[in-house]
Amino acid sequence: MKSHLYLRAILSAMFLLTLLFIPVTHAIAEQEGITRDMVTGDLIVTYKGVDDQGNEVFQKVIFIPGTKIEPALKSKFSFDRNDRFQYRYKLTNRSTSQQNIDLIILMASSVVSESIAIPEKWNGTMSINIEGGGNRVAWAHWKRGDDYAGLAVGRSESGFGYKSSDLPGVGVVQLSGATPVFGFPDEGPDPESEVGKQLNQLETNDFVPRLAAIPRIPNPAPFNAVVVLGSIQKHVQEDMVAMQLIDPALLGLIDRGLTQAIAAAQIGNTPSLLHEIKNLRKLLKQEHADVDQDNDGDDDDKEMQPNPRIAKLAAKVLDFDLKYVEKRTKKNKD
Amino acid sequence: MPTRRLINRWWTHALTACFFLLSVVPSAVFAANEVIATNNCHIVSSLYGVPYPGIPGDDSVKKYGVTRDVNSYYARFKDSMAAAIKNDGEASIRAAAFGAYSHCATITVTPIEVPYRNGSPVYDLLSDNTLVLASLISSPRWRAGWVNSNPDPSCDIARSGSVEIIAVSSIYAPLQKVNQPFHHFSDESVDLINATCLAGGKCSIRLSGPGGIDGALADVEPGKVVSGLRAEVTCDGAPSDKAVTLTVEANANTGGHNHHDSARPPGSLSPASGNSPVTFSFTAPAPAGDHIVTAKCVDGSCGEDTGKVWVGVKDLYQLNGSTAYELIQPNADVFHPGNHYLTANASIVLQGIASEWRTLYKPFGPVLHLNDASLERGGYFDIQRLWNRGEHAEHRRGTVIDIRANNLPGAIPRGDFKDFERAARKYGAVARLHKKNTELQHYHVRLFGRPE
Repeated sequence: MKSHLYLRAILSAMFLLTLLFIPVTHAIAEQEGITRDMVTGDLIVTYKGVDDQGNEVFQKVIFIPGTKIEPALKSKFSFDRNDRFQYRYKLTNRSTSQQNIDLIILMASSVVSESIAIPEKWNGTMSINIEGGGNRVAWAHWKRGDDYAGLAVGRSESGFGYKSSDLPGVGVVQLSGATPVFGFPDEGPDPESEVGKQLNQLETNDFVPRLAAIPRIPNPAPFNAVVVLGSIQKHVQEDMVAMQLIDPALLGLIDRGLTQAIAAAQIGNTPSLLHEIKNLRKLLKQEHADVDQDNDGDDDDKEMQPNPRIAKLAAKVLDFDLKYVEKRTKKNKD
Repeated sequence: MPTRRLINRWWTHALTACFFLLSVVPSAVFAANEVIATNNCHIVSSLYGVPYPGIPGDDSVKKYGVTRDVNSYYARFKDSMAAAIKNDGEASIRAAAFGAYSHCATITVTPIEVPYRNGSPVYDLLSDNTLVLASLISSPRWRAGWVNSNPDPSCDIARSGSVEIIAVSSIYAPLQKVNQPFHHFSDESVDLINATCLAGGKCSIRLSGPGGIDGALADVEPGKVVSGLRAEVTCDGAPSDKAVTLTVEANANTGGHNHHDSARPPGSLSPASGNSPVTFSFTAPAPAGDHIVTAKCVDGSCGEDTGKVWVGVKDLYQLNGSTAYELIQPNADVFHPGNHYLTANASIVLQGIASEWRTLYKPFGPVLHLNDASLERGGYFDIQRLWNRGEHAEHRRGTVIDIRANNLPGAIPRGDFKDFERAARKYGAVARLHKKNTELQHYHVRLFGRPE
């Protein structure tokens, strides 16, 4: 009888222990995924990998994104005597950033080779943008052995630039913060797995975008007003709208004006073409009083209206391009 | 499918003296017995005939003949039958058959293959009163056997025996259909070796496809599907709806893989069977290579046709030597000797990174040392010889390359790692360390910044 009681007690204890362990084992069961460390903002990537013996195990790596920066980028563009456009940029790593900035990348429709302006402690490269067409311009900070080298927090650098034969449009500049070397103990997650796809997405977008004036409007030689105006119109209709830089109502007015200007250029009606350009520039000036001023870009400091219907950078770029067409048209006329 | 009942009976009416037979055997004018049929033609054939006792009242189904040597017999048979048909017609055949009737032994021609070995049933009787060979007809290996069923003790000497016939190049079996005149040598005679009707029923099967490299039926990238493949049977030039079966296998040592085993995935066909014409698709496996599709008629009557499907990624080029980088050669992996293949655009990106590394970053240091990119046709670079799993899962399309970054000569020094990553990104590539902190540590560089 006594042993029977013992047996019952043991069985009960085993049952209770089982109940206790079930949630525990569930809790520690690993699975693939990416989680964010709420304190550091780093990403913890857990994936099915292999150990050094080739056994399948869960691996865990920390991906530190290069997006812990709050940069400001100002564009400056001008026309030089050699029928080329000079582009310059001033980069500021705001004091709220957590990382130095070590990489700047942009895609332009064309860049004059050997024209890259490079600040001290940086290197710059112009290459062919194989998949997207045009040129790829990149500046990288370098300091051997220092993974975290870059434009320090709170500092500015204004020596970035290049020349192009193409007119400015508005484009995205990719800015990245300095991060440590990232790697995997094996070959990383299966790129086809969900976690692999998510990590690929993170790596592809591991930059902070900033808008800037970038060569995007092809400028054929000899000058052709129809082609240039057509490219400007396309840029406004597609890119500026996609980037939400222009109000639909103003877009309608500008689009109509460009259509009429192109029609005038097609039939060689120069007075009409110049008239349309003048009206378009007037529209822009109504939105931003200093749109035609050669200043540092996109600070909305002298507004005609409290809520301009076009972003200042877009207005300045557009005004510059129209002014160029106006100038070339007058020159041809003379 | 007609119902069948097996016939396994031997002649019970060997009537004449066996001495006569034995004296004749060496001269070998034994009546031939080639009662052989194909599934499609329902053939019954014989040279000399008497009514087959197993089918009372049906004298259209015959089984006769004696011979020891089908080859030598066949020559005479063919000539004599041709002459008989030409000159005398059916009456002549009947007369010849009657002469053979006096033999005391009969000969059967049986296939050697299991289960129809010596003495086993040779023929099936179909419901439409035709006889068919109850075995594969495509085998050229036949056995001529004879059994003396004459109870006369004097016949014991020739009671039974057999000789294997190996070298039969061709045997034409005359065709006899139900309700046709006895021994009607129609133009539907059959080549037993090739199992096709020579006339009025000669069938063949042909594979076709959208076309590809080196005369391939089609080209397809690893893991992708190609449609529009077709197997079509024609009999005497006319389309047939014969049942067709399709198989596929990978050719050994193709696609840059100098290894082969039964685990190599062959890909799959869909559908893998059907009635002609069969339009099918091929799903390529992950590893590249040549894949051979074979099409046959289910009844074996139309021979077979094979065609190649080229599986791989097109337009991959082997990296040439350069002052900007060094190829790690020869590849230690002898099973994948060609490991430096990239697309043209990926090569341009690589050249840009390597040149900049050489001129800007490390003018006095080692150039980049390049290891595995893709195999000559891309596809799964199964470095562990597991075909479609294991490491190197990304080296498939010629846009990824490994660069030495360990302690071996030419490796990127640790102090330059970040610079190298930045240099790669300047060209749109993404470099990540693989096998980090091991002796196999290397940079895995996605030359377009994205996985393959």
